[in-house]
Amino acid sequence: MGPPAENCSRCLSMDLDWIEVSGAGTVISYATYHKAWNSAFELILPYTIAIVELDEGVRLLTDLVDVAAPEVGERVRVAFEPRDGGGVVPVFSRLGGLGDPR
Amino acid sequence: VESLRPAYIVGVGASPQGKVPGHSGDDLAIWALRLALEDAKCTMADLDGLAVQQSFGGGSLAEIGHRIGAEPRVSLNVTSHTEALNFALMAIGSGICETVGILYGTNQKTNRNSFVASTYHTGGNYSAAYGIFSPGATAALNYRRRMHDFGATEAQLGSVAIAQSKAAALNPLAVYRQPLTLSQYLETPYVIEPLRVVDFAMVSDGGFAIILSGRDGAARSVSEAVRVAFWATSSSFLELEHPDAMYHPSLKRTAAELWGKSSYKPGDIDLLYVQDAFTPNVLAALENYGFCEFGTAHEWISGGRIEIGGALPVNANGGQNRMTYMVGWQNTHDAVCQLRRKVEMKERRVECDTVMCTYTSGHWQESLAVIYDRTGL
Repeated sequence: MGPPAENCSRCLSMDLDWIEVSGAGTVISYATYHKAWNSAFELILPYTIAIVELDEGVRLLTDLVDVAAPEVGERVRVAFEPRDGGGVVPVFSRLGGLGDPR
Repeated sequence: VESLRPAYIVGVGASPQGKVPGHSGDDLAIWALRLALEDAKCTMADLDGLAVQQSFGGGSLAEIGHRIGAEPRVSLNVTSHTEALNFALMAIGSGICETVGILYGTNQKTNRNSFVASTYHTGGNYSAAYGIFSPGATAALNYRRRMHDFGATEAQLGSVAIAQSKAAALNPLAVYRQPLTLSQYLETPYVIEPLRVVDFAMVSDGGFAIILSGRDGAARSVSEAVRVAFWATSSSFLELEHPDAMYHPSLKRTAAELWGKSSYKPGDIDLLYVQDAFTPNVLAALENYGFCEFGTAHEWISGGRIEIGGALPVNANGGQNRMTYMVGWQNTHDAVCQLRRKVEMKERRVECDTVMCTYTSGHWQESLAVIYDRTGL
């Protein structure tokens, strides 16, 4: 399931496990910010956010990095970016080729 | 909804809109309530139902309730105009209440509410870590997907803001009264591309109040009652996980009930109001409620079709986008004014006997459609 959740929204179980996924996915849609609501993002304007559907079917809200002219349906692969305050977040960059956007 | 007692809107009230410094949100809600009670020719003692919408800068039921000396049978705090109307229609429809007052007031313009959070429920700071701010993110992602799926263009989306700016130019209560041309629209800077500044509703101060009554309460009111001819509602809290998340599919359930259980059809509607925090919302409503085929709304709205004087005027007040950011309340108010033929400038008057309002909440989790008409008591 994704984005991260505390329980399964179908059976409501909180007994969750991590499973490994391929890290490959398809861009469902994207949008480009020209305004920073938070000063931390001012320096990287414009930046592009996206909904990516992993090949395993999970959808993530994420960023597209190193993608000059993104396209809906584009194939992307996970990368991990550090964030201020510690931690890394999964972002996506271009893999090449168009998938089948559902 | 069938098998309920009929309900009527018997009074509406609006405070000044835009920037109203020196007043709390609660002041503006009470300002509007006083006008609505006066309009309905009733007093606080007549209200046996009360709902207050929580707001930026106000909206506590306990505080407002105390200030207005309320002693209703049923009262509640709600988070949307949809919830307030649902409550009023259920309370009157069931006979539990005869006269219900619902109100909302905010000073979020003066106090600079910046709507940082997105409407996605992703837990913790997950969205913020990606720079996903503002409820506009959802609308931008949705319109981008429409551009890919159906070849929609940025210029086509402009028809919404243009239509609403023309209506707002004729509305003395509207905050943004400059009519917009297509070239001006296309020169407006992006905020979250493909959406531009004028695709976003801008926050405003203001208050609105509506008084609804059953037949007995409406009969006491001297002013012209507007009938709630039919209403339908549904909720869905699915977001990205819904396969059709890009097109607000929860509206389809409300639409199916509205057209399936009533004798109305989309062609009966003379004037439509859509809660439009973002211009793509208008397209989603037109398609899901069956005014046009799925995937065609961006073409269907061209040529002035949704402008005053067009085949189906939409948001003839300027909507939330250009009139005032009153999260749906401004549309109920204007539907009543139009049906009562009480619109100040005659250029803004729409020949209408049957008016539909569609309401939503934050991420369209809740939807409500109400058909209002001029059928008397």
